[in-house]
Amino acid sequence: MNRQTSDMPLDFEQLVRDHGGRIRRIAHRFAENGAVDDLVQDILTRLWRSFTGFRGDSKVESWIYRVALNAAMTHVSDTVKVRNLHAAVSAQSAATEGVPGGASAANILSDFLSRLGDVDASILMMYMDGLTAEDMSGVLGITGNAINVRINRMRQKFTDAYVE
Amino acid sequence: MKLEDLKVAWKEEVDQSFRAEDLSMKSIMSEVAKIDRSVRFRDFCMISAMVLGASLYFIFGWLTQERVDLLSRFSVLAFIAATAVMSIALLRARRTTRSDDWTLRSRLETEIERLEKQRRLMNRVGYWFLLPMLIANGLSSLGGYDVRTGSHVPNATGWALFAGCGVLYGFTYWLVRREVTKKWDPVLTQLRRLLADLLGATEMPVDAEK
Repeated sequence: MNRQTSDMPLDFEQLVRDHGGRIRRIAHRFAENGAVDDLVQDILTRLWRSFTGFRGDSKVESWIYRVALNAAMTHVSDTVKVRNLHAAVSAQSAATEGVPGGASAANILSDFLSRLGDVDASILMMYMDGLTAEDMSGVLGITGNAINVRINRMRQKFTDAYVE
Repeated sequence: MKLEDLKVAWKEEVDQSFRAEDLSMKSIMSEVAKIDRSVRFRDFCMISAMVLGASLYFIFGWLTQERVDLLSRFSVLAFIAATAVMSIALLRARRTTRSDDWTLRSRLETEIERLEKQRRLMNRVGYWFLLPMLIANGLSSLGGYDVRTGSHVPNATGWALFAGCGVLYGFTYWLVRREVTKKWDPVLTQLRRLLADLLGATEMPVDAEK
């Protein structure tokens, strides 16, 4: 097994050093405030488990997203009520509030991510990270065409919400 | 501003989000070991409790008895068979893949299938575990009573004992059903909603909403 491809880290510590921020940002989107550290830990644990099986056939980012989304979206048992409440509040605020004029790009990004559903938010994060529709297809298991359609819808939604 | 303009903000956030404490290999390894231990311990506790119960029943209900009538023998065998079936069903229902390197769709579908399997198992526990156990208890008691008194018709104490067992088993069944309704069903609903969101209405599998 050859791990040393062009964008493949030498060891797991290096991988965490290179992508720790990304992992934490993904966890921040899917976990409640108090549970971000737990989800980060869970993702790192799962990455460590599957690290030996990762052959570097796909981009490291794709692999991280696969593992991270698996962790984030299938561990809903402890957070069902909170997530439902969060979704309801997000929907309510999306309908009634806007981002104040002059808000920073970071604030707009954060607000937009919170308004999107979990799947669209995942696609947006991957899109921001420069993954192609084909890469995302390998992560999510849906067609690249369906992903492109969703990105176009998000683009429209973004324009409607933030572009005057 | 366009959606693409957020890429710079995203990159900055990712760069700033790294924390050195995430890089604790020791805590990762310890977490992996802890999860492995807890899964093994949970399976071990459940199955060993059932095996112990069946063994004790076999020893004290059959081996140590001078005379064991047909009903008691049938009861012990039924108890052992129910324990074996339950243990196998538990192991099979709990078996999950260790791979996290799947597409989200595969993972969601597998998780839904696993939960549905466990849910069905728990919903049927009354039919193929509690009820046979109750019958086994009854048959064994009647057998023992016949050995002592020569009659299969129990006295008032025997009837009270059967009624107590019936209530206890009924309560257990209610607890299991309550666990399924309160805890598992909301999780299943959430997972199905995610899958539906992922696939969109047109790609939704026919059996996903069963």
